[in-house]
Amino acid sequence: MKLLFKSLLLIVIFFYALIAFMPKENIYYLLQEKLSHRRIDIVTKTIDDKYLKFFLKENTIYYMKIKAVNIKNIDTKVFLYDNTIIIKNISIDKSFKHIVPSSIKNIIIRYKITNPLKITIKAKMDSANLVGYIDIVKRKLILNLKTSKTFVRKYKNIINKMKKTPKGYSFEYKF
Amino acid sequence: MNINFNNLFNQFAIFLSVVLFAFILDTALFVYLPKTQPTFQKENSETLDYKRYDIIRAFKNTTKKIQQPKKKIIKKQYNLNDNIILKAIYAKDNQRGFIIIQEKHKSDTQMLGINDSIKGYILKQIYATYVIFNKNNKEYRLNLNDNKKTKNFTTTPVIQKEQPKPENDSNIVVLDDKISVQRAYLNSYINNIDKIWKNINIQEVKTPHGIDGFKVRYIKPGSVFSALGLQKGDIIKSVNNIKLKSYNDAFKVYRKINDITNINMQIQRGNQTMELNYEIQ
Repeated sequence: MKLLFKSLLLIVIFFYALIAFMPKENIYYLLQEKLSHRRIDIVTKTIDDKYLKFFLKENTIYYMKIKAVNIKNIDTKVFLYDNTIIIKNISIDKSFKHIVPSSIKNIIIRYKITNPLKITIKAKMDSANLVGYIDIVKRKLILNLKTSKTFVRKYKNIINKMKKTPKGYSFEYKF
Repeated sequence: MNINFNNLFNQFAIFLSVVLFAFILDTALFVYLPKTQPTFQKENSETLDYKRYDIIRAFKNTTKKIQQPKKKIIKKQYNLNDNIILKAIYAKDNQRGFIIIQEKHKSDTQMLGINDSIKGYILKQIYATYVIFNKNNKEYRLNLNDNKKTKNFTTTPVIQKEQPKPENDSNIVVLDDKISVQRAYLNSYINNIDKIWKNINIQEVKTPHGIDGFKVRYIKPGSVFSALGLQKGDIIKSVNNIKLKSYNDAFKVYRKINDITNINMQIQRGNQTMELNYEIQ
């Protein structure tokens, strides 16, 4: 029992040390590099690397050198039991206003050790809330949208791709 | 109380070695990762690499302002709304091609190539549905006229797989040193610019002083252009003494074609300079 406890403790310490010393900033550069090959450029004003947390502030995403999205904060917190990515204050360029809502208050992507096979997703928009999850085993993304009539009228492109359910609209995607 | 320091040290050493192993793994990962943001040129990478894993830094939270790479600076684009209408785009890529524009309240159209200017706006980039001009260090975007559907952004000339049909011989008559072309036949090309680009593909010849003629990159076999004596690789230097120094010069010739009865074309074929004469009947 003592040995088991010690081994577990060692694994936990190893994990925390691995995350704390991980060159997160450089991993982010690699991601930027890969995306720029697909003509997506992310310009980040401030990168803040703190042991188990990683903050990106004042981000602008360009597609084919055209400004597409502004994201105020992307906060990543990696703990063993609870890991989250919180994307705050997303403003999408006016050119896309007929396709997607121009402002998304936040998106929370969470992975908890208590629910190891699912990654939950929550998004808050002006007149809609999106709740969903990624099923890692079934390789499936399921999104449920609770929305107002105005949203349905305004963003028919999104609604048309979703199924109507008693609680709102749902979207399923297999990958 | 009897504390076994030896045992305590052994336990601590195990945990420390686990932390150290994680650190080594991360350092190995760091070696393979990019050290800077894409396109950012770092002058002294060794110093910065060392600082990244400085022991003081490892135990200290740092907030670092990232210096933006020069290439990442994307200029704000303004809409060009200076009574200029973009009529058509003919381009191979962002840096090669030309556009046809028209000033509002004027019937004349004008052709612009890269670095040509109109009203102080210099044409810098050509895209499928819009172009970018530069004026006073600001970028201006001009969208293709909405009424016109663009089919003109082609990467390669349209090559028909069918066997080339020779043009009607009666339309082009070759005499000793002059070629006679029927006006109606010529007009069928003049009035349909797409027909021209399906049969010929030209590209400007760039020199340090600007454009010096247009090189024939492709000619459809059996087309009017091949019957007129043009060959792939020819550089058209001037037409009726108008030196082709810009796309607009070429366009000037194109617009005047209805008023002229003789065409004198000076071309360079290999190292030879040649003249081609045409009579329009």
